[in-house]
Amino acid sequence: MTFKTRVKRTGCLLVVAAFALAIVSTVRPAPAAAYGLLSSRSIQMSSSANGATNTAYKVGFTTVTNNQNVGSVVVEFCSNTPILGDACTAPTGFNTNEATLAMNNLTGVVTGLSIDTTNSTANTVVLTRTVGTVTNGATSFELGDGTSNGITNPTNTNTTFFARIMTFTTTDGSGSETVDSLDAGGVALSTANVLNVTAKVQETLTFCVYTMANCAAGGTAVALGDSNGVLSSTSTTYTNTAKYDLASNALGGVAVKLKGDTLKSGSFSITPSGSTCTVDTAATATEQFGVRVSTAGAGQTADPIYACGVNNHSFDVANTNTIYGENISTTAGATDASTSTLELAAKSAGTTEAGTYTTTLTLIATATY
Amino acid sequence: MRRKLRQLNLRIPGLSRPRFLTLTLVLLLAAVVPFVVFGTSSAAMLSFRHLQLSDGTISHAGVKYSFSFNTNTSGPIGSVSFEVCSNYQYENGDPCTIPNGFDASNATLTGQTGITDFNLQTPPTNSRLLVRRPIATAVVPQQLTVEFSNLKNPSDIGSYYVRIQTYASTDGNGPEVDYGVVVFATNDGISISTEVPPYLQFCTGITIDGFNCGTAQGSFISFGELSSRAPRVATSQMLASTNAIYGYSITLAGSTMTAGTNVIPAMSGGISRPGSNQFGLNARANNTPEVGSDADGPGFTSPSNGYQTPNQFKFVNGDIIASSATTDDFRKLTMSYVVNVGSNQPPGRYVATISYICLANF
Repeated sequence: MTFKTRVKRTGCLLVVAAFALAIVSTVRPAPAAAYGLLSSRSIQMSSSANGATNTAYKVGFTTVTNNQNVGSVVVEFCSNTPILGDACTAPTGFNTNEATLAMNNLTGVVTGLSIDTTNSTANTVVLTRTVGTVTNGATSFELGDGTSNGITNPTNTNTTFFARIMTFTTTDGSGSETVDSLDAGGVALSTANVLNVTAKVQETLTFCVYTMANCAAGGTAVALGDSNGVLSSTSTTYTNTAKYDLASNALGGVAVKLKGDTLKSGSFSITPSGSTCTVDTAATATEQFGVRVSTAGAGQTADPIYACGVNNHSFDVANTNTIYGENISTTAGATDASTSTLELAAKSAGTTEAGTYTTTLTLIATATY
Repeated sequence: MRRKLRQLNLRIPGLSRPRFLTLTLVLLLAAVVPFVVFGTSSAAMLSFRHLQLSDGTISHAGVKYSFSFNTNTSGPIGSVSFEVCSNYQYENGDPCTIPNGFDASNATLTGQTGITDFNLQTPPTNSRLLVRRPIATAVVPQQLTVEFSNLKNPSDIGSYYVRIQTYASTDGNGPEVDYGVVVFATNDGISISTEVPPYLQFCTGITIDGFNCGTAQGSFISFGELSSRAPRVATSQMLASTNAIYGYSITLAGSTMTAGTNVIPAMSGGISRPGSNQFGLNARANNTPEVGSDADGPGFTSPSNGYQTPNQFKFVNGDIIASSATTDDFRKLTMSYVVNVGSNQPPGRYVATISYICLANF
């Protein structure tokens, strides 16, 4: 290479360098922000309803500038932009309620935070701490507990708003967002319509009385006596059964009432067993007619008058023979389908007038909703 | 690196702003479980509500329907409606299917508490009972009861629904104030039957232990050798019980003591006279002579005239010696026999065959 060439090249290089320098000088932008971009940043709201009060905001982020000296964490809420340095418009109706706002459940690398009520505003929460080094890591805290001491959401529904999370060395959150913040980042939040959900469960009552194997088989007739339906022995109590199925979602429970009279043949009757459980007697001079709830279905409780043991029956005719009858069983509340068994018993005496004796017993279920 | 960070800071990482907003809304909606949303009434629900029937038997007439419920809204109540349906009405104004056989055309208002100036609008419209007040005055939440009488139950076994609605209007029109549904169930009653057979227990014997015919023993009485100086006596027993509603009677059948053509005269009622010719009986305890016992047992049957007086004896074929006018428990009679002979009574072996016939009247 000749000297001229060298000079020429060097000159060109100088010109190029100068030009490049000029270019760099002219087009190079202002110095970039010093903050690192917080990662894994989020704000979880306990309610997205517009205007909701005492909402808890769970703030989480991970610092990326290791060993930064953190004196405060600032969370600034804006309706227009999350971009640091841009003007921030407070969301309509939004309020940090800084005077009463509480911070809970602080975890992570940024420790010792507390709310700076002096420097916080309606749309900015400043959390202060003693300046100290913070290694990189996750941090989270909750503003408000969801029931009190919380934040008031913006009043516009289905509307996005933003938050800027920034760490500062200053303890009061002061400083330029873009220059003085250590780590920072923006998040977006949104209010949303609250969905009103309703579903109706209709009142239900299923009640089936039968004498055959099950409700579907039905049956209404009960014969008391020997195989011919005859009270052939005056020292024997003859029994037979009827059943009822019950199910209801009535919160106040269901009362099953028994209504009816004792066995009668014209003007003659068989003496009812009485209002207390009475043992079945073998005395030939005594006649009896009674009932008992021999099996109470699940969830059902037999009334004490009819919760008689084996070989005992009762029949409180003074109350069964009234307008609405008398309770034989009840449920305390809603009950799934269950079956109760009613045992009927009759015995004649030597002086029980001959004849065909009948009665009709009605079971009535009353559900309270 | 810093410039790159600055550039990245202009937008949410990975998504443009519109797309991010869209995603947020989609996620919110996706978090909601699908369900059916009903339109809700602004009326409050009646609480502690129930319907009590006086009889749940299908097609039963003359039934009372007693409603009880608590209102929950303060304000004027002018009327209350009770609409009986075989279907469930989810919302006010839903169609109501009138239950088969249900009849409220003859219903009357027979009871009311809480508010006591209701009148029943007659005739009822289909299955809707409407009670109305003259003036819809304001009331506080309270328990109300309303009882209707003379309704006829549906003719099908099953569950039925009654929608209760209160209104500020006095004609059951306009928006409901409070509402609620109650459910009642119909079924068949239990028909119980049994047969008590006709019953008569009667037995005789020389002795019967207790009141058990199984212990009756003996049928032969021997007076031994008759004497003119003293009477000869003997006893037998009989036991009777029946459920015949008209009771029973015991008839004496037989003849006095005879030996061929020789007869010891039957007594027609009188005392025992040693040395005279006489044969008689009664059903009492005697002391002249000392023989017999009074009737015994839980029953009430008593000896009949002629045979019920101590120390008076009689024997007339066909006489009723004891009877009861109604059912009677066990009654044991002891028959006392007395025979006297005079010195002129021809010798011989004197025999009498006596039967007692018990007849029950059912």
